[in-house]
Amino acid sequence: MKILVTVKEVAEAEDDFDIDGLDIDERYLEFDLNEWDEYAIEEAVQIKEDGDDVEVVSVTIGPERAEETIRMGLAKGVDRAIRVWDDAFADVGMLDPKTKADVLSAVVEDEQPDLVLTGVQAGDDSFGATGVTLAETIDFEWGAVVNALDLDAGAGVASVHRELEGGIEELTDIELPAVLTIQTGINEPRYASLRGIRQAQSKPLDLHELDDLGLEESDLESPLSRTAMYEPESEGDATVFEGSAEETATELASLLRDVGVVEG
Amino acid sequence: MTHVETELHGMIRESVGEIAAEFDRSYWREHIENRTFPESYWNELADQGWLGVAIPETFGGEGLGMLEMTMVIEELSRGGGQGGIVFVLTPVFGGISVLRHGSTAQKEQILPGIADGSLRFCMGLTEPRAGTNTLAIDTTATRDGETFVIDGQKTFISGVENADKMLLVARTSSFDRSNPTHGVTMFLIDEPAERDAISLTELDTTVPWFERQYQVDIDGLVVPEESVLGTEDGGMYLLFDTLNTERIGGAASALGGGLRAIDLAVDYACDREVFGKPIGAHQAIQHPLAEYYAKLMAAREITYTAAAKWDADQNCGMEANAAKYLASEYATEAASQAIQTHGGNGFTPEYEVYDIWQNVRLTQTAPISNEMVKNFIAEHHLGLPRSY
Repeated sequence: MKILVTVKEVAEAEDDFDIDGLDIDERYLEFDLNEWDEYAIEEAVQIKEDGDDVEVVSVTIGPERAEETIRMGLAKGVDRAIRVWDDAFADVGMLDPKTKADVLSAVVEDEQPDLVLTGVQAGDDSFGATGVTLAETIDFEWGAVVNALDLDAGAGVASVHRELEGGIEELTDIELPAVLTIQTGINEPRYASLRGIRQAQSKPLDLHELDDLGLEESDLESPLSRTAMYEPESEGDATVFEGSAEETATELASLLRDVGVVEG
Repeated sequence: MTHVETELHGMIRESVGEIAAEFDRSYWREHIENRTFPESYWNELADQGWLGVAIPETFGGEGLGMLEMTMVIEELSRGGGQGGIVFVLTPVFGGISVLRHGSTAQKEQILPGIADGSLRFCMGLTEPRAGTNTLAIDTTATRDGETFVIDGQKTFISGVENADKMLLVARTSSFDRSNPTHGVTMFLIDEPAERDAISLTELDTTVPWFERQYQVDIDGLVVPEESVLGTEDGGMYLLFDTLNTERIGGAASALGGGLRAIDLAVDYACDREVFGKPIGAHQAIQHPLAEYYAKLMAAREITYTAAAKWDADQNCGMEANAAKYLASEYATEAASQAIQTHGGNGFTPEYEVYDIWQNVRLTQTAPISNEMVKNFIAEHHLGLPRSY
């Protein structure tokens, strides 16, 4: 069995930042693996550990900088990694979910996985649509916002819990091959062990350019483009108390007095 | 990233930092107040392979070196809590001593236990009459057939209550002026707190630390000759050999503490607003933090150089001593400045910086005073006459 996990390196901005043109100034950004993808990787690695002959492959669309993040996935149990990049990606700037799904579908065609796991969404642009779009593009079954997964690889069925609006859960059996978008909290992502980190140094991390995937620059033309970037006005202030219940209760009481909620 | 660092090292830093961050200040305060060993923290480090970083794979470790161990210690300290210096006793002193000088049986018995977290060490060296001058120790081990009988007193021995093994230093032959380093032997004592011939008297110290300190009285302790580490009467050579790793480990621990103090001061200075802007916008706040950060970065370079030379089997005495000296001094300055940055808050238990200052200040004095470190550099590296 082969599981393909799509992962993304996302940028997180500091609390205070400056905007530079259509983006946040890179000086205020820190790059890390998308939070949802941490859970998708963990889910795939757990399936590998519980089963026989399961291979876990990660794929990302990203520049060379992303290799550090990808390598950490290898340290946590992914068997090999694919990075898709080409100068053309840098020129395009923003990729919409459909364009990304087209690129990833070329990788699916090469790899022929039985199961594709993605994060529900990416923490930076929060489209939350790439996984399902990919499923439609490659004609796989799909389940979105999965927060429990029980896989019967022999029967080719994934029994999943899907998190719906309003605290409702849907229980569904999905036939493989399928794409599942994984919700945070489905598992407890592991730390990379020192042995995993050492092994990751020699695991394959292959670069695929557009040519390798049978794609052309024109395939990256996206109907979406970013036209402006600004910081919205804040409508209220949140105060976060840190410390023990005794300490924070006192702080809360004085705040409530200050803003006039309670008197005295 | 320094000139010796690779992608592997970057991943080591990140993963160790994540573990350190999981154990927050309340976890450590609880263990300091109750003086209990941080079991879950230690187990996590063992499970992820960090305790065995420098132990060969054949003995259950990861087979990396002192350089990687240094980075682990530094990141544990920088991540908060007291993991850094704890490392020095077991994986550094216990692990390196047994690896370099133990018999095959001792290695097989001890090293896997260090790597999997089941074995912890304490060090029985300091005596009331022989602080820095190890040659003047009064504890004796007298051979009686295939056993030794040990008598004496040790002081400021930390963590005996948590230790499965004590590395005990005793005199096996009387002092001979013509061959002064001869006659001292190192013993591996099992379960030191459980032995009838060992009595412990707890000493009160003011450093915010989870381990207890003891005066250790040894009265007729009988141990088999297999507990000798290295050779009988040859213990000083063994001590000299492994002291450099203790210097490097101590430097890494101080370094991490100093960097944490700077990190916390920077956070505070960016958040705290007085006179309409963050206090960190004032040069009087910025410049000292920049100065101590720069100094710590320089101390880090020589610490890594020392570790890399140790791994390459080169003499690292100068670098290891310089690293211990500079890291302990700069870390203390940095922590002091971090307190100053916090104003009155720096002296409250809500903020960590005063605790950091106390712990890094200790590294100027223990396990060896900086005066002795300078004596070493003066005498052995600069070729000045011996001064003591």
